[in-house]
Amino acid sequence: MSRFPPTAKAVVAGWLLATVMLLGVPVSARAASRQAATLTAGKAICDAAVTHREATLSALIAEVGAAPHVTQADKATLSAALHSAAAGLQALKTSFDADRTLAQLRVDCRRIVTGFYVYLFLVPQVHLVAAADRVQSASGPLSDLAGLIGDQITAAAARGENVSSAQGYDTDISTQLAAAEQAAATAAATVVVLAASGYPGNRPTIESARASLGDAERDLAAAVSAASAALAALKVA
Amino acid sequence: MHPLQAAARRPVDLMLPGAGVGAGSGPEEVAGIPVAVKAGAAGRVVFLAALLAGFAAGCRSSPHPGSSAPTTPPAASSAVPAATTAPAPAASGTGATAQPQASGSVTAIPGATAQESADLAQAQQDIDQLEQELSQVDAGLSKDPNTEGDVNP
Repeated sequence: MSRFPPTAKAVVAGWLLATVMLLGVPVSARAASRQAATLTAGKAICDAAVTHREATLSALIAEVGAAPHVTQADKATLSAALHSAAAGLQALKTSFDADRTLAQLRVDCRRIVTGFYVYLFLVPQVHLVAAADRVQSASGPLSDLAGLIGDQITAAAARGENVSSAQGYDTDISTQLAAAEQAAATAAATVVVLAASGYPGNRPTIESARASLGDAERDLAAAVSAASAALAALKVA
Repeated sequence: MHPLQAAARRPVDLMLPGAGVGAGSGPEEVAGIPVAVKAGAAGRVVFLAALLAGFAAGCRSSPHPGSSAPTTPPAASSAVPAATTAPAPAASGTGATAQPQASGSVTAIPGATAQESADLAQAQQDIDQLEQELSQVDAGLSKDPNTEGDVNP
């Protein structure tokens, strides 16, 4: 037999119900609000990451298009990869903007990196090809210069002057140029065929191309120095 | 002159303001004297003896006997760039390897034609841009492999 009358029980039950209504509902609403705010902030971070990559991709597309010595086929390959990445990022953005949980957002947002590797792969790939293009650009005036120096050497030799030193430097220009051009051509050819989907497995190839183009830069600098030395030698011959 | 030599000379010169005829005409001989000789009277005597000996040796080795101060080196040793003294026979096929110069600068070559100067400047500009491209490559490769620097929700 109950110690409390039914009316008392009803009062207590009513009080408890009111308490839950007054306290419980606002608590859950605050938690939901916090989660929504966190989700919104997370989406903002991911949106910004996509925006930055889209800007980077646009710059890369422009750089590929402006490279004077990159073949049309290589330009088409690179440009297609860059446009594909831009479209994929836009689709991914639509996807994670619709996410309703943080867990979903985290998974989708990480795909900004792992699905495209814009900074880790595409940026190095395009700049390596552009670097090889610069090597080709530099070889033009240096080849021209070697020819001009050769003409001077011929004229000086005809006058009976000692041109052995200048001739040695002129030969060195050609040697350094050939090495630089070879390194650049090989690096560009090996890099342009790579795909972001192969990253990070193809990273050693990128690093090797980077090293080769560093060598090419030193070869070009040596060619410039040899040209300067040849001109100085001709002056005193 | 090596900085250590300059530092070594400074107190010696101050200590001997009237070091005699050799002081003004034989700086190269003074440079070889150890700093330690400045300490003490005995050291001064040793120093003066060494100074005089060195001065005398300098006079003997001078290409201009009777001249107290050989001022200008032979024209051939200063006017000819070091590069031209390096044997660079064309027939060898190896050429003369010139040292690469610092990035971003092409020293004007006296006597070079306008076309030659323009070619050098253009080549150097292309090399500078090549270096910038490689810097961009390095920046990409150095990104965090998980976040690329900004994807970390």
